Amino acid sequence: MRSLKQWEAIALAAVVGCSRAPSGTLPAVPSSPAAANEVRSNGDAYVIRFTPTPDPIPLGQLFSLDVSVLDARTVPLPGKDVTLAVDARMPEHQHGMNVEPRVTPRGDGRFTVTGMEFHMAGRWEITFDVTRAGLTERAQVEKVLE
Amino acid sequence: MPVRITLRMIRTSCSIFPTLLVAFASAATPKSEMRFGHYEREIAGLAEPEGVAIAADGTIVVAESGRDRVSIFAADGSPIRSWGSRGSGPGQLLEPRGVAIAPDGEIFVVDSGNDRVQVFSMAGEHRHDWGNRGRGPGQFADPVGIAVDASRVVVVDRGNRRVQVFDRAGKFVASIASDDDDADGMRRPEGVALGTQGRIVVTDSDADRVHVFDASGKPIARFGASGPYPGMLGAPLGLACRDGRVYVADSQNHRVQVFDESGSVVYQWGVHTIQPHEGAGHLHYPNALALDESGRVAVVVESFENRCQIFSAVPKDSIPPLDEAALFGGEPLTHFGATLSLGGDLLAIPEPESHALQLFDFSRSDPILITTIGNRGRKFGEFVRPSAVLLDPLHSLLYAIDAGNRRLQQFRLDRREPGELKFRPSMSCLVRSLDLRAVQKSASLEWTPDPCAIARDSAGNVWLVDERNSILIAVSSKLEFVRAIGDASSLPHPTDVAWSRAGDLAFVVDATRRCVQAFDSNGKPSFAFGGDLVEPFGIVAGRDGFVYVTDAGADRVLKFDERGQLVTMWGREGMGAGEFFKPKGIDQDEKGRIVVIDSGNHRGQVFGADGKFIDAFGSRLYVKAAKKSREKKE
Repeated sequence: MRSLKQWEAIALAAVVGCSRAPSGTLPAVPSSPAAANEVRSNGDAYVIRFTPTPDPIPLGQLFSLDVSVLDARTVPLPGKDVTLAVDARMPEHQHGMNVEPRVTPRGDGRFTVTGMEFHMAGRWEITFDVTRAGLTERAQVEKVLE
Repeated sequence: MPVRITLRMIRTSCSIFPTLLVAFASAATPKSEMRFGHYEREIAGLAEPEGVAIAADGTIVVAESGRDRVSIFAADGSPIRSWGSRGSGPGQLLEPRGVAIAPDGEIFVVDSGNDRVQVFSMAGEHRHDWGNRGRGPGQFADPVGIAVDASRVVVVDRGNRRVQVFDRAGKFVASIASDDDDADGMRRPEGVALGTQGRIVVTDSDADRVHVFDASGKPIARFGASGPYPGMLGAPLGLACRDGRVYVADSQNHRVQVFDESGSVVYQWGVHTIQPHEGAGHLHYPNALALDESGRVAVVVESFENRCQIFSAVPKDSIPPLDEAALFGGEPLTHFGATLSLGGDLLAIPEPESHALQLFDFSRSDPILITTIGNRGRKFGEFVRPSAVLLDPLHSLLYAIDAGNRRLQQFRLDRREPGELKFRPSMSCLVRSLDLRAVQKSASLEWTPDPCAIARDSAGNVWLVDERNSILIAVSSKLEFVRAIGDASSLPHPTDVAWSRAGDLAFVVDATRRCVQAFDSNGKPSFAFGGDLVEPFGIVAGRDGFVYVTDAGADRVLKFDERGQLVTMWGREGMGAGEFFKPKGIDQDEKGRIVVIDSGNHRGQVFGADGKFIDAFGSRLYVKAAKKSREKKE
């Protein structure tokens, strides 16, 4: 198992590049390791903070995520009407995980995601879909496993 | 399902699949068993046939949606008579989509455009009718399939996602419906047939499965899954039941599959066309079928090809083995959806059959595929039957209507090096997804919007053409509801919209009134034009100040000025350069080039603003026909 820390900043830069509008209105790429597990949604309405367990994410083993959904000013979202869906894919391989993760709300915009597994080495993209009143925004973060 | 995918699977996966198929085709059944598969003849020259039934004497009854009539043919396919005229009065029809014959010979027609069922004698005398538009018992929203027995009339009420049961007089008896969030429920019911013991068997095209209910409407079986293999389905539409077997028009797999009522596969017949528009037993999007009383004759309807094919049942052993070359070695095809969008140097086209969007570099005259977006599924970023797209090059955004999941999705495109001709799978990322049920609530609509087209106005609002509610819906670039305009009286059947160059007029194609209706910016109907259109579909208000409209029913493109005066037109039926077969979506790019989705020819065609053919792209044989004809002309 290899630590992911050294990959995360580079990977995040690549992913957030996708969410950078030509006008440059979207947030800057987190540059420090401390910010590596924080990502803004692509429409800029939410900030997602997450912590994997175990950390770093292992290859071929189940892991979980503690996720906090914050508003754009990084204030926790207390609303019960906020739902979260989490998934992961390997874009180059055009497939997802072999498992279906389960998201459990814990209140105050916090969620526990269990049953995640990266079964292959390579570039994975974790997606966080936050839904409120029928409108969903996505945030995504990249993880590269070797 | 797309042959392209099938080929990829075969090339990369196995040599055992043909073996499996042979095993499938020669399943252990008695040698004397009769099976369909022997092609007899075709009934050609129809206009959008949607439903078929066979009378006790072998007479074939076809619901011809494109001519708003019912046509009667002898058992040998020779025409006898037609009845019906376009309209809403008693006996008149508007896009009839289903037909069934009762044991006593009465003909029941689903008069879809009028949201009613009409009953006729075999001679075409109008007996009675029932139904109107709505959600209540006995009301309909875009009804399609129908089945009749001695005491019941069962109608698929597609827009209400339910099946309604009536007595023979049209009195409401029961409704079979699914909860919106029931993953196992009916998502898009299409065809219905009555099986043994009064069972009600329904195809579900968005879920690629068949539901079996008992006579009381209780679900007792469900079978099918998405895919090309035996037992899997690709947008199943019409069906028929006979002697415990269920015959399904497996449209996107270009075959008829035969199941027992528990869902076990018995056999299949029909293979995809190889040559363009080929028939003679080759099937191309079969959408309905009927069996005669003896179970010896089957009529398969292919609305896509404006024809029916008649098959007979013959001893199983006399049917030639499946032509594997036709199944797996045929011409790779692209199955463009009906719409497109141009923006910057990009061209976007939805491909409903692969449940994905295709994005092309269009800096040259021949578009180069640079990425695909999405795949079949219900998760965010995935699609079921994407129906329309809109490029917003200024903000690097792409909007897509995800019709089967009832949502609007917005993607950001990141083409790091403009002009790079490199396929890159992660060129897009989902930004937002709007559940259209939230729009229904915000706008107080009767039905969840079912948009078929999308356009952008000069203020940056995105307009959805909602044929179900007969309105246009505007949402902001953040997918927040803004407003809705139109109603059933001003827009009975909108199919596309475009905003004038100055942004003061919305031009909306109306398929029922067969015209273009202009609305002012307040949503008030202004003027209409295009009175001689046959089946208008797509529209673009060009950067050059002209309005271009496709006429799918007359295989042409018409060019108007913004006051509705006809400037020129081009096209006729055919496969040559500048010829069309059911042209649908249309758009114009910044260079003034017009691109038309030549839907029935599986290709796009590129023209100058004057209608001069520039190029074609898409399925090779169809493109080759266009290029060859151009060379001849030159």
